[in-house]
Amino acid sequence: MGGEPILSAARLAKSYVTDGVQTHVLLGVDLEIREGDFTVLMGPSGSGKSTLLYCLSGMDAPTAGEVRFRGKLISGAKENELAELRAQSFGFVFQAAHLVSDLTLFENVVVPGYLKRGRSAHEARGVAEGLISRMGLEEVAAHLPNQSSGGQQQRCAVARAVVNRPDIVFADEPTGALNQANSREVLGLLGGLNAEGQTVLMVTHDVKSAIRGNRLLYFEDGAIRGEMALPAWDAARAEDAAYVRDREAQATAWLSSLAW
Amino acid sequence: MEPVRTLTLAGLKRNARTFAGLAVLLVLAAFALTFTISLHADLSGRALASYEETGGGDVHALDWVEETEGEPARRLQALSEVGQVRVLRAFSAPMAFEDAEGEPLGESESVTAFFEPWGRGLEVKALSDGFDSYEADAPGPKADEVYVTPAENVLSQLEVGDSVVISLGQEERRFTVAGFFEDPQMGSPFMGTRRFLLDPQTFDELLPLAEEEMARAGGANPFAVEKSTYPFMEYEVDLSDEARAAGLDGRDLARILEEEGVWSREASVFSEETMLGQSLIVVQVISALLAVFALLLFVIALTLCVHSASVAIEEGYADHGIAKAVGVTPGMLSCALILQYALTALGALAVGFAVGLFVEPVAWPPFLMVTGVLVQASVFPAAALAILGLLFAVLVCAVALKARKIGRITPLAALRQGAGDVRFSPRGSCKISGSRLSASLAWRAVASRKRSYVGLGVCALLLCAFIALCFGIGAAVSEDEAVNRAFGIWESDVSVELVSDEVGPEEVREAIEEVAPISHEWLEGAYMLNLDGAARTFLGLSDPSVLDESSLIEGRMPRQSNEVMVGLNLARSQDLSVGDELVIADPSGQEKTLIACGVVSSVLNGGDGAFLTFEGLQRLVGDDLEDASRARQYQLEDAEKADAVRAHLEERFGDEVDTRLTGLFGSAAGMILLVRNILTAIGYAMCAFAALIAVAAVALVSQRMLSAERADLGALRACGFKVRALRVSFAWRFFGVALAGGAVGAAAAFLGGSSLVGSLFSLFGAGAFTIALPVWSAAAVTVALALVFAASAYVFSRSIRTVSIQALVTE
Ligand SMILES: Nc1ncnc2c1ncn2[C@@H]1O[C@H](COP(=O)(O)OP(=O)(O)O)[C@@H](O)[C@H]1O
Ligand SMILES: [Mg+2]
Repeated sequence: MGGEPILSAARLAKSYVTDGVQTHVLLGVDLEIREGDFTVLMGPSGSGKSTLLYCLSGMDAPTAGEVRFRGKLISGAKENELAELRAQSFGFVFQAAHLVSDLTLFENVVVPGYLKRGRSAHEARGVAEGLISRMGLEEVAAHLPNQSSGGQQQRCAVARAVVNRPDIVFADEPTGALNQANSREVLGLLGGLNAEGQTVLMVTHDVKSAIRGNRLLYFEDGAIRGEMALPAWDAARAEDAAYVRDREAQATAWLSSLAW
Repeated sequence: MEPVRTLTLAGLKRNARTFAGLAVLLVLAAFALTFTISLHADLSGRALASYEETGGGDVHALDWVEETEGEPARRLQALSEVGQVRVLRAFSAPMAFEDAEGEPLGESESVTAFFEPWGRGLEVKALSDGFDSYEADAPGPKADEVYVTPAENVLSQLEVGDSVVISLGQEERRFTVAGFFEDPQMGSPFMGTRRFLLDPQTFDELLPLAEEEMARAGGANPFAVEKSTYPFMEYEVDLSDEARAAGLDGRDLARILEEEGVWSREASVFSEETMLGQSLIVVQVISALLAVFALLLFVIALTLCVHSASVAIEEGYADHGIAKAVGVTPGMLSCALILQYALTALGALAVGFAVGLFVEPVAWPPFLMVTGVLVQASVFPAAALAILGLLFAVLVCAVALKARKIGRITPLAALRQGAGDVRFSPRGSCKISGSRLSASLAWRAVASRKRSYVGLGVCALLLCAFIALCFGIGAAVSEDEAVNRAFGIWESDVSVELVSDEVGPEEVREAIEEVAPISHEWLEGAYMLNLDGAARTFLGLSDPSVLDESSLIEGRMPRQSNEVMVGLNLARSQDLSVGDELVIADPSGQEKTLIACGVVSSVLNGGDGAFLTFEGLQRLVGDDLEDASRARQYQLEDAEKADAVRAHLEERFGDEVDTRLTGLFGSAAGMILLVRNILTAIGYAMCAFAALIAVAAVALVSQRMLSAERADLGALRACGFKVRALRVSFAWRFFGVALAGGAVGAAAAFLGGSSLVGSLFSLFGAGAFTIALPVWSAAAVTVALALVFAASAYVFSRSIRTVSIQALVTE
């Protein structure tokens, strides 16, 4: 596993000033995300995982250091360039679905799809329909977000994130607000996409979620403190308790070695 | 009460910007209302006070001296209804204005103008040169000086230093304008009769000349609208105390005097009410327009208040529910909500009231030009206070009605988080299209939260209707021809009086046509006759078609000599409709019967005038029209050629013809120009004001909307939508809503505007006033307003830039 580096950060630093008190959240992070990987970023709550994710994805501006996407500097890029990047190359899944409240689930997927360059509106609809059925949302495609369940909304959010075949999907605790069954479903979808070559960067503090990845990073005190490689998740064995338990054991052992 | 206080303050603080916006609107509304109402009160109050101070009578009459000297005074004293009577000698004479260089000023002088000695009649006050204060110790006119009213300045641009030239037979006397005086009776340009004050000694010298001249002319009538020289008596008749106590007013007295046959047939009689009404007509119309506008402002502010209150209830759904769950009563919550609006409104109305009172004096000097009366102090603004109080109550009640909703919130429903604030049937709604993404997203947003946009649509509707109306009025009076049509008057381009019998009308016609084609040729004559004790103008026209057809409200123009077409207000006061008989006493006292053939919309005599054929008027008043029948009026195809025609006529016929303009509405043109300028200025001011309100309304609504939609906007930004695209989409919503609301408003103005403005203008007779609002102009107004809405929405949506996507990262 692990293709070419697609996203890289060098000496990335971020600090917030609140009421005159400076909090240093990122203290010079060096990191590479490789194409095709399912990278998982773990760490204690409040350690700055989300901050790192958003600095990497250009949603937030780092205080110092640089981020490059396919060799091109994106830290400090203009807002319009970043918007373009989000429309063409990045996809996001948040803890909450954050669907647009007055669009149906289908429209929530297709509307960003219209932004993709070199694709007709007709094609965008085709892609969106494909994703809707893949996410098992055909029944509720014409519903508004507030007429559908949390799990359906989050699956819709995953479909929305990948409608433009992004180079990277950023997921910030995508299962944080879901029950177990829904969590498993959403993780399965992300894993399936990854198996087809989709690069994923996911933040989680949950071991059960983390074992879906093939590269686990541990973040604490402002920097990456450890890294572990796992064989790629085998979707066919998702129901195999032993397989799952084994991966969990490996991850837990690694984490304890890092004083988690 | 402590919780209510806390809740109120918290609410005001949380929505500080909304309340600030509402306050701005209410300040504007209160300002406009206070300004309008107290301006009206001050102007009419001062006009009345000035009338009383100068000693004007309950009835004012000008009567011919020769036959009636001493008589009316005796007859008056015999009546129990009559109290004091003041009599003054005066004379009228042909006159012309010249500026300091001796160039003629002003056009024709067809009004009745008369000269009086300074200090013997009304106790008038002299005005300072700037018309902004009284000249306390004005010396009065010297031997070769004259004092005039501000109306001369408005109509003929007469200024201090210019001259008034009076012709008395062979003699011409030149008087320098030395000052202006306040004249509550004749000082308004809207009075057809005007007063000039001379030095008493000079007056005494001139009066015998006027008498001689009249004797020489053999007794023509001074009140036929012609330039004749005439001495007469001016009467100020007061009601007796008993009659006043019995509730009689000037109008009653005028009628009684008429019935008692006090006056000669030629007398020109006006009651105090009629004179004040005449000079305040424009004030009434403008106040009505401004009041409509101010109320409109208030309705908009009210709509937005109610809208914002209901949004506040929706937004605070969970908070209210939780508050209720911990034991705060619904009463306290509603009370807090109502208090927030009441406090804001109270503060805003107070500020607007104060500013209105403060600014109002600015309008006094321009209105002096209209009323002839100078206002220097305000009366207590009781009416403005009462109306603002009433509106305040309406506003609080409206919010209170909305606040009842809070009572229906149950904690459980609230904690389920106001589910269903987005309501629409996805199937019924339009598709989001890929090619018109911004517009279709905007359309969806509106369709989903229709209720939030209703208030905005109503604002657009009202504003658009109003602006369209302003434009319609403006366009209707923008061109001279249109002005004539709108006010039911006509102008003659060339007047020719045949001085001798050497030259006939055919030769004149031929001579004119050598220079410019004639479109109309006619004879016109006017005569004042008393009806119910008040003087009315009876007009004879040999070709009634100089009056535009569109001025006819009912029936047709007069054709037979016993037919009369009556002005709107005359028809109303006499209860006349087509086919009815009008009995009128001719100058010799003989009763004649006329048949009403039509009702006309014309400002002639403020809607109290009557139109006959020229023969009809001759039949009615006989020989008095001798001069008029020698003066022909011409309208040219091209009015610009009038000067060339006059020059040609003078060259050709010399002294055989007199080409000075004698057309009836020569001076009306100046007055109408004044009205037009006032209307235009007000129209522009109100349009600017309306645009301001549109911006304020958008600021209010958009701010609420943006904060409610932060999450959606953040999600769209995370998907890669550019800020500009989202702002454009946001602007589209406002464009669409304003376009829809505005279209309804413009359509309303298009359909009902004429009758609305017509009923307003029927105050001075122009009841058939038609606004000129072509469809394209209504559409342009609508689109322009929608663009104002869209542009301000675009500007106010700047804050989308600051929607941080991280806000979506819930902790
Ligand atoms: N906008 C902000 N302003 C100030 N401090 C912030 C802001 N966002 C995050 N932080 C602080 O940065 C630290 C890291 O936050 P975050 O990246 O959300 O952590 P994690 O996702 O690992 O739970 C926290 O202490 C948080 O309080
Ligand atoms: Mg986080």
